[in-house]
Amino acid sequence: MYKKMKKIGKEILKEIALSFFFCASIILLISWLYSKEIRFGISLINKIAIVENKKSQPITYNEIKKRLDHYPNYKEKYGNLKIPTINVELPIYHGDSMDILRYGVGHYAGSYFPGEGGTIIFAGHNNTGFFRELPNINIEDKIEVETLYGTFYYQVTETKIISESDLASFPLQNESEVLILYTCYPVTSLGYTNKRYIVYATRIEDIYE
Amino acid sequence: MKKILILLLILSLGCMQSINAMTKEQFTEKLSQTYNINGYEFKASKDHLVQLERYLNQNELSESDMDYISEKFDEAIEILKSEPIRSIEEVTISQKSKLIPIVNDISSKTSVKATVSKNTIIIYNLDGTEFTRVTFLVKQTGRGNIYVMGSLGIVFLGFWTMIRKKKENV
Amino acid sequence: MSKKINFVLKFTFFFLFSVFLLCSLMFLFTNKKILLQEMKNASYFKNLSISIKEEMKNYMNQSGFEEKILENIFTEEDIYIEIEKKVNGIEEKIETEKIEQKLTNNIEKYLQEKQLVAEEESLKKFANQLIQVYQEEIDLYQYSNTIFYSVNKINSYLYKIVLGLFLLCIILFLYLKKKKESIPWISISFFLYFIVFYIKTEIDIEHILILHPVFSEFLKIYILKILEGITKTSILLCIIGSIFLTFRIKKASKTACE
Repeated sequence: MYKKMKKIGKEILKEIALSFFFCASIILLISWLYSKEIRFGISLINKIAIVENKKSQPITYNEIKKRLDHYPNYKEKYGNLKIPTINVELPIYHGDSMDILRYGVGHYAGSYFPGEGGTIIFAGHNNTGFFRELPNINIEDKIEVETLYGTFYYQVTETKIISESDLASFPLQNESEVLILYTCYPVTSLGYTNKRYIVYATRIEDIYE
Repeated sequence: MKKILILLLILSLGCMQSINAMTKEQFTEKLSQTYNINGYEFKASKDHLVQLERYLNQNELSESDMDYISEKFDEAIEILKSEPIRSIEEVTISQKSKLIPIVNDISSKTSVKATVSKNTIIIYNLDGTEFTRVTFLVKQTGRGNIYVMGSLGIVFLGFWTMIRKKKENV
Repeated sequence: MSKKINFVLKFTFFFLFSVFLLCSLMFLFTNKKILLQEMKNASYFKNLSISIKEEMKNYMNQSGFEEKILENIFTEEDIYIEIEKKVNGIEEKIETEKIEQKLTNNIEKYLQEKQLVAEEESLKKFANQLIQVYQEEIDLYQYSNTIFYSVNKINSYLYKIVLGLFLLCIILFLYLKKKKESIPWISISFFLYFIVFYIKTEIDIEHILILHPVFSEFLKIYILKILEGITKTSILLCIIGSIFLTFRIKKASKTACE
């Protein structure tokens, strides 16, 4: 009986050992021949096709450098835009993609942030959108941009109507802080329009009352 | 392709920071300069530099990443100089087939991460949060698309088309 | 010497049969009919339809129109027909005449209801924007032809590979049986399971995002289904291997008794 059991055990162990030997040999052979390519492929897949939604870090502003140390993530709401003279109070999101503009004011990611001393570009929809009252703004009207890292005040200096392809009307610079708001024009047009209404405002250091 | 060149330039110049202890300001200034290839000028536009500066301020690329990118970037420049092109649009198929693997290589070996979704390139911070999104137009080259798709050349390409698409949104 | 040769052939059978099984599974999953069926099962067409509507809604605020102009301009069936063409390798432009007509009718009805007037040029451009959204979403932003072409090409290569490997495996199987050598079913089962384990560990399949969220969701489900198929095959082979092992042991113990 014992001899029988021993023989059975040996057979089973032999089979399992053989299985592991076969598997290990093939795996080692493939690793030796193609490990570089396999690792490269997997690394590339992870880099361009695998995404996890991570929580953002708090937004922090460096008063000395006049720069943010940590920025809002794309699509993150980071402030409110207030224009009391035209009764506007709107959420500001980082980014200006079409889906962001459904919910509020979009901050063009290629422009500076409020407080950084450069050009800030905010977009909003006309018509049933958030910037439909924009053409009612006047020169010297005050604009308040309240962010998670501070509140900034601007005064309207100019408004104009341009063609959609006039990119020169959005000058990006970092010598002075200029806020640019824009929307499609006419604001009540139906369908597609190729004009834009732009408001320029410069930063004022005094606290608005 | 202009865009691959410029981003490679930017990232590789970032490498000089580790070798020569270059400050971020020096680095940005260097990027604002015009780069000369085959007698023609290439320069990154302001909105791209704004985003790049922001990215580098927020994300510390390691020295090894920057060294590696710099090496690969020099290779890329040599490839561009190898044929008498006057602009990035004239990059030949043979040059592209050598450039795209370089970009693939950089993307797989360094910490920079991006993906493509709905005609938009999403670039991530090193901590995995979204840094920015860039909408772009894919130029069709028939079956060759799958090769382009597999490469982060698209990612870097899209990084530079922001301002045009921006104006069409509103 | 012949024992060594048998061992090598056993090893070769193990490798070839593993590859044969993997290629067969991939051949099945790259089949056009199965691909379309799996897309249906994963609600790909339904989700794509929702995604298209949502993208179109992004244009409503700026246009001055309400979302109701988007009602019934296309159906899931329309999307299915377009994608079926692509999967079958038919390189035709996406049919937009019907949707254009329905959209134009809805806009006209809306304008009449609200007693509004709009420029024809503006309306045309607006309609074109929405149609472009429809085309781009179905076309996966111009990548769908490339993807389905590659899938079909892989399927045709696999057909030849599977056939070739099948013949080789049959020959090796018959030879091993003739030499009364055991077939390494359990080894094959371990190897297949290792592949699944390696892929699941190295790639975070749950968080795939490439080209389009709806496509990514389908890809995730599809990849998991393929891996499930490999796992089931591995378990089946393990069971078969265990059964044969049991018979061999019984035979060996009987011989020992005698």
